[in-house]
Amino acid sequence: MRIGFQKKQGWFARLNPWGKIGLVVLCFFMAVALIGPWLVPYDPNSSQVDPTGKVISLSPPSWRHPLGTTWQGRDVLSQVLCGARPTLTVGVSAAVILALIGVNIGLWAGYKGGWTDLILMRLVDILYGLPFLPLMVVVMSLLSRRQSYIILGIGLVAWRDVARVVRSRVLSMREEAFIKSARALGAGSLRVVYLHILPNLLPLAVLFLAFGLVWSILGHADLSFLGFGDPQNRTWGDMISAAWAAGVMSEAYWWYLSPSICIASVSTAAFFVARAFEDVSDSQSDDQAHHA
Amino acid sequence: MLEFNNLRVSYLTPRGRLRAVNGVSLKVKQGQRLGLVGESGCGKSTLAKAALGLLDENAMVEDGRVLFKGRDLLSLSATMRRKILWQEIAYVPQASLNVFNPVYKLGWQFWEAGRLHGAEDKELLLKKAGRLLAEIGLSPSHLKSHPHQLSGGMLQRMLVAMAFILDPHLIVGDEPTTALDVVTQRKVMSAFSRAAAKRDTTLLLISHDLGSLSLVCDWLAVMYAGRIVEKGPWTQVLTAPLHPYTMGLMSCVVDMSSKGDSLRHIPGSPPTNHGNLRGCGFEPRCPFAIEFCRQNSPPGIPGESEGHISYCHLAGEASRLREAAASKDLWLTSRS
Amino acid sequence: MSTRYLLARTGVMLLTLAALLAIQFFIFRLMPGDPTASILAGGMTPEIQAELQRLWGLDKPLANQFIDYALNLLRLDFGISFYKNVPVVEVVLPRLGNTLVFMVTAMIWANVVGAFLGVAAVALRRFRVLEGLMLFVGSVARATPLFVTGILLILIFSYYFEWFPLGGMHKVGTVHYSLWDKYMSLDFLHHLALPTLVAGIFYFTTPFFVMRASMLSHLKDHHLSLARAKGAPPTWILTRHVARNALNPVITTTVLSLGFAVGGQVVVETIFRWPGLGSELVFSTLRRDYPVVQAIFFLISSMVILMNYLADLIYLLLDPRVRYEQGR
Repeated sequence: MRIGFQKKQGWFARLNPWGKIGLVVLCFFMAVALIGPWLVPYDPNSSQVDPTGKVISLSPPSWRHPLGTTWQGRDVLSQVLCGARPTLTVGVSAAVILALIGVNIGLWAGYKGGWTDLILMRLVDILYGLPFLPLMVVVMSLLSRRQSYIILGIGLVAWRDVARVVRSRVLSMREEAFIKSARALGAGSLRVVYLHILPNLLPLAVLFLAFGLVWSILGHADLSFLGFGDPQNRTWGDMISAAWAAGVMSEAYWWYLSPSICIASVSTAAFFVARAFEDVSDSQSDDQAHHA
Repeated sequence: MLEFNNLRVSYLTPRGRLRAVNGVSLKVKQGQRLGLVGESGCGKSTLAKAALGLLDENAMVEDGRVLFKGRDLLSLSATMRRKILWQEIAYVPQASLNVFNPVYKLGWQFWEAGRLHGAEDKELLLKKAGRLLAEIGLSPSHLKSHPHQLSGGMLQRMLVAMAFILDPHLIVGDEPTTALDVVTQRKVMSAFSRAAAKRDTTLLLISHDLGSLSLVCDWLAVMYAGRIVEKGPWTQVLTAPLHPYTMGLMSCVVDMSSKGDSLRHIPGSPPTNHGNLRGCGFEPRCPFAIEFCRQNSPPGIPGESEGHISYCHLAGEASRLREAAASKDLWLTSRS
Repeated sequence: MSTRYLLARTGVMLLTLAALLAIQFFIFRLMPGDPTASILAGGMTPEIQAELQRLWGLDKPLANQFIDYALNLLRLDFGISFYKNVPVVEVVLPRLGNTLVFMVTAMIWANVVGAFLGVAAVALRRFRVLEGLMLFVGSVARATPLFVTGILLILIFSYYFEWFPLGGMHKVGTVHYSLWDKYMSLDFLHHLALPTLVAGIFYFTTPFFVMRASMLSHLKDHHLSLARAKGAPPTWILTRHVARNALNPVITTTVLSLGFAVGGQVVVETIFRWPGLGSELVFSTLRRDYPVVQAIFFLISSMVILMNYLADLIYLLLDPRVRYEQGR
């Protein structure tokens, strides 16, 4: 191991093929998230009427409405295009939060040991006891349904796995020569932790960012489906929830098929990327083990 | 019983083809106890694996054969080979950390050998294992333990006992004493010797430690750079070596009487890739080498005793060379 | 296993449970949104409101409320359901049973199948296409939200093929005379099938990936060469040695996932209208029936903590090496 970290050239090339595809798909959806709302042919929230003034309810895909309309006559394509933004906003934000919290807690718990470790790990245990979906359901019903609450809810709870893994890594790193020499040179804890240990954990952190993205997207989707999503920022889960509530699943397949495909694609893509990162970091640690 | 016939084995590595065994011809007769010595990297481990027919995946047999009771081991079908393994040829490896599966009790590990060869009565097999353990000097109750509960010496003795469980004709040992202290070494090897003697088992023991082998073996083969440089009856080879390398080894041996002398060694180091050698492998470090040695591969030249063969051009002048080898100044001049 | 360690671990578990209890209690009481809003309907005079508050113990200081709550819990008294006006226990207990039956069945088959497939994926590594396919299917199954899979399967198997019912636990109108009757009828199994399948599709993936990774890491173990020297065929090596050694992390993951699965059945239960804890949680939350919500929440958390605890113990039991050392 070295002090500081090395930029790996060509990290993209080292991902397995599925990881590459996943990354491309994610980028595509990020683009949709950015410009989708500007490309919508209709207002996703208003009912469309036909020339006679009747609401075009549950119309199958047609030229005017390529993905059909909902029970309330809203254009499905527009809704789908707008659904990317909240999904990815929540996904990325929550992932960043949980990675930040998890890495830091794991770092300090592992480095300091003793009481800090004990207390922090008991905190993790308690968090494990708060099952995510029930917790979110309760919290969202007690507070109002806002996207920021969803982000915070996920971020503040899902960091537990990150902390655990980071902590055990730090525990084994603590005894390495380069840490001891840094301390011998008089480096304070902050310096050692953030300048020496953290850079070596960066690949792990990136890995958890990727998995965090998966967890966040899935958690958000589940929450939306159950009806606890943010009505101002309707995502694909909300669409499917509406379709389910309307009970028209068997007739209006188009209403939930496109959002289903979208959400499945995004989360699967994120998962492929995460697993590809995992493979890379596993082989890296194998290499390190051989050179140690 | 076991015969290596001009065997050449190479490993295919990313750095190219590395030859480990470079033309070894060796016979182990029924009832013999042959010790094979050589330093690290001389190819003896590869030879051990070849003796079992269990070479690594990246190993390639480029020439020669390994015959067990007349059958070519390396060209056997996998099923046939699995049948022979342990039942006719058993293996005693070094008792390293995870030589046994840590999850199973030792009794199970004995039973595994039996089960793989059709044994049906577990009770019977375990009783036999118990008797073997007692013979080797271990309490049969250890069969109920897990590997991590035993010391290295005990594990090594377990391995020795396990080798005998199916009454094989040949046992191949690969560094059976390396992990042990001298006292334990003696215990293990004498137990080994007794058990083998009782059953008239043929032994091929491979090691770099002459001392522990001396307790068991009656024949010796010396290996260097992928080739056998000398072979013969144990006492003969050691008291009247015919090959400069063997002479060097003998003069380097430390015993109680060499008090006060500085430690000797043969200067230089052995080659890694044995395939690049044209002449004699030992020539670069041999104090007696002549130009001829570099160009021409030495043939086997018989010595005085029956079966004593040396692969040196200068074997005929062995007695003169031996005198020179005895003086310590000879080996202090570095030649590499 | 040393008794001292056992006691310490149990103590930690109980402490965590207690801490959890406190946290949950305060979440409910301190969050904005008056829990009594649903019973204190507008139009009640302030006196009646005060009287009701006193009845429910809501006028006491928070600390007292907590102590009361904790003591009641020990007597398994969760209070009265705001909505249904019966003791919460009566509402929640049968639902607990339903969820457990569903969850345990799903997790058992998911983990067994997942582990087997993990072994198979390694055994069949030569066929790279097959391995790639398995990994792909596993990834999609893991990453796709449960409701997407669920709805899809309902449409295919219940609507289109009509092989399975649309939801619920029994045919409408069935009467049961005993617990056995309730859970062991063909009708029940018929209703159990699809939800279990959907949950299984999601939950088989973790043991699959973990088993596969674990086996791959054990393929280079030293003790394998001794087994080969004994003449062990590849199948024996793969099952008796590699798989057996690879099992430990899988078992720990399985037990842990049992705990998490309790919390995760909310979605599946909702889609299939399975009368379990998860769906009840959603409905009660929507109805603002807080005693029920609290009780369910606590039950679910307790089960997770219990499962974590069990997982630790099982891991200790399984690994003979760890058994002789003190944990931590």
